[in-house]
Amino acid sequence: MTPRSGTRWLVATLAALLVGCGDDVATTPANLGLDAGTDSGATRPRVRLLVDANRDGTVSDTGDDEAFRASWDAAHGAVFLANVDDDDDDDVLDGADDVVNGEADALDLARVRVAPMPGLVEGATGRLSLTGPTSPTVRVFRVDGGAWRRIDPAAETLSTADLRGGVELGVESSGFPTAEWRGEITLTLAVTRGGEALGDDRAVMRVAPFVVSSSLDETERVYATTGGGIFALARFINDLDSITTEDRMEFETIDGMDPDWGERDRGPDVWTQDYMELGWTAMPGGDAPRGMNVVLRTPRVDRAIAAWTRRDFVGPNRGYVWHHSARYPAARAHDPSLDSFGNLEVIPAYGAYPLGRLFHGNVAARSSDPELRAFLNAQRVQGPVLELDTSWLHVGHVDEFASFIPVNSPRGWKLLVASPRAARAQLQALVEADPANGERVMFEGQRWFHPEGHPLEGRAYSAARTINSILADTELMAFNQSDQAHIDMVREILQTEAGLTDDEVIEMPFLMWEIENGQGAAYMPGTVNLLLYGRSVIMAKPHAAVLNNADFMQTHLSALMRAEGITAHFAEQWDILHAAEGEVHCGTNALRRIPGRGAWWEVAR
Amino acid sequence: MRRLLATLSLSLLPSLVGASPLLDPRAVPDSVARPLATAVRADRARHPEAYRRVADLEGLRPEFYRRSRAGRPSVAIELRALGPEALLPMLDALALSGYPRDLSADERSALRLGLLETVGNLGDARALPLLRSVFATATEAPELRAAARGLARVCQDADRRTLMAATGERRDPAASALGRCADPEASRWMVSQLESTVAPSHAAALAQGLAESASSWARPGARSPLDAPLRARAARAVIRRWRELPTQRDAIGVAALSMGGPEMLAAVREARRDAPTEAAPGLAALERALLRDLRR
Repeated sequence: MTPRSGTRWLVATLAALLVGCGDDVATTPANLGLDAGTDSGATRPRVRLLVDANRDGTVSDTGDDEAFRASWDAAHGAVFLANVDDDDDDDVLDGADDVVNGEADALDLARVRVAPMPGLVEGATGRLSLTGPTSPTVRVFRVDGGAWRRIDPAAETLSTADLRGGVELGVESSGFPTAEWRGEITLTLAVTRGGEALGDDRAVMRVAPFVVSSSLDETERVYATTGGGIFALARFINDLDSITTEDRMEFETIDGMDPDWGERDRGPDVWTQDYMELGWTAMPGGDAPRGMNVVLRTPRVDRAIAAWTRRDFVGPNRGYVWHHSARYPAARAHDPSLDSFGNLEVIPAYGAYPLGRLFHGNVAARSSDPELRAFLNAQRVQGPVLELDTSWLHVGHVDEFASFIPVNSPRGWKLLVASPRAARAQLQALVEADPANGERVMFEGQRWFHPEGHPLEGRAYSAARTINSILADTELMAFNQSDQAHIDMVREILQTEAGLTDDEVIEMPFLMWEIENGQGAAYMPGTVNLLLYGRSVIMAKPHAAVLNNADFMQTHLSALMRAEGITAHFAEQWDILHAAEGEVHCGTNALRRIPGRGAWWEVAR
Repeated sequence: MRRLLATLSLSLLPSLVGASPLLDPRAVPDSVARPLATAVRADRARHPEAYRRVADLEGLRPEFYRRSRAGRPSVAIELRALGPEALLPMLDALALSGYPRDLSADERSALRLGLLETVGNLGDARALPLLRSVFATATEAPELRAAARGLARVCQDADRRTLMAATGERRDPAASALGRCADPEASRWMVSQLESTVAPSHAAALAQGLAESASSWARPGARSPLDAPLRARAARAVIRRWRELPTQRDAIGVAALSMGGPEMLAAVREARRDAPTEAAPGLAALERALLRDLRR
């Protein structure tokens, strides 16, 4: 006779008799797989769908994984991935097909286990159901004969043997949360025999969002676009190459003249910042989050080079996502320039935003793609997106006036903000120190409009101007005061939002000028528009007046950065970027690693 | 080789014959067109290159502007580069000859605006007849703004009066452009209008105009067209309207900071003394920004 608890055996037997299960009903808790020990459920099998509810990277059948399997909050709840990479490099995103594409892809599946019910009564079967979105597609796989097989939960019957031995499932999504779907799914398992319900269980999971990398995240590599045999571009690329080599930073160029982009007649699209936003997605993975880098392609459907993101970026642990309005542009006020990703930046971690907060230029009269904003807001952890007025800028991007650097302070970072005020003050101080400085020339040797080597180079005109003539230009000064007013307004919003003191803001001196219709752009190279990696920044060579054999602005900026423990590098980009209303940040991009502190699931939103 | 390519590209220009003018015919009455055509005939013989350049703008070529960061046609910087010699060629393109190839609506609009702004910025009285008729007939806000600013750049008495008397859709572009006159009469008028207007958008436009006129960076202290008492009055009027018109606070706030100076700081501080709770943070922000400026 098998040892057993006399009381439980008695309860089970009585219960079986009461429900009239007759001969088919096993009479011991052990061989029933019963949730023995409770008064009311003694005859019911202990049905459990186990998930990684405690977020330790494994699924166990005890503790918090079991206790919190049906709930989701900042402390508990299982996560699954939008499986948007291509681990087997077959050019099909892993979440878009019905197979598990090898071992690496299997790691991207969030595990769900049907806990074994070894004593389950013969004839009992299980039926899964999934409550989730219609789009994107959430797929469920099961291990079957040692291999993964996609199942349709509604059509899949788990046999008695399956249930007795337990079943391992894997879950993935083909996409991220949307405006219509907050990212949650509920998996339910119902065990029945004949028409009789024996027990059920449910597990709640939430899909990982797309998270935009902060410029403070550890950088893996830097990108820039090249090609076309343009001297000014080659010079910029050469400078980037030298600087990144010195800093031992990986540097990768994207061929802007690849025939696939069809740019043969118009040269490379050099705005590497604008055609893609790099980020990541992750689920709990033990010691560190497990996930993948993801590229968000610009909504601009006419941006040919953006196809690089799908063709070349995607691969193992490198995913892809693209959202745009079906009708593009979406409305009269929709300005596609605002869908460039120089217009999407992240305030680094603060307060309730441990992964930072997105900010973006958008107002009703001049707006970005509503589909883009809806997608970003649906990710929640870095939102809602802080929308700023950039309509006073000709290009209209937030990276024209704000960036961030890491510093040694409790907060760990400072805001850099464009400052015509500081530029004017610098120029005035030079003249006050020595009136002869007023005749020193800014932008010596630089030209507007056609870069050196361009067929229409002869139309270029000199940018050179004395300091006195700049300071005496009433229209330029009035325009700069107006742009400074706009900058002060957005600065106030950013400072208030993040709780920054004035000491946590560094004013980056450069003047603006009007391009057209009251909208401005950087007149002096816009040094706030910089590329940051580690403790290095690359910014535009200022081409300011030379004092004591050095560009006074370059000297000033180097000191400003050095005081914060940052090394400033300067790249030559006037002709290729500055004269076309962009600077170093616009012409580059950076792939950042998934931060170790990337536990987005702890963000209570 | 480069020179050869440049010459080649210019020689391949299509003929100007048959191109349509860029402006509504109502903006180019005979009284404007005839003297302009005479002046252009003589000028074209003297400066043929300037006409070729205005007729061959890189910023209108899709292969060029799609590569710019804004990604849309824009000719302002290019036209600015042509200098005063291009005045008559630009007026010719606007009023008489148009552009020698078909343009998309966006390209056409960018060209029209770029030409209007650039001729206005040159501050040459020869542009005034056309700018006046554009101001009288245009319906698009950017064009009205460009024409009004062009008139204010020269700021002849009659044009100042026209801008002050503007009504309807012309009223606000005229009010903000008057600041470019930067003279005492226009400034006094703007202050009194700002004190009395009941129209929110007009108040914002007047504040913007005053900001340009009284910009403490452009014309500090004694160089201001507003004497110290008028500056103080203007600052108080701007801040009072900021308080009274919540829907216009962004625009008027920018105007307040664009004007700057100790008078504006005093006006903000005065307003803070009895400001309602809802207005307090905004006024505090204005004060912070003004102080940053004054400490420099």
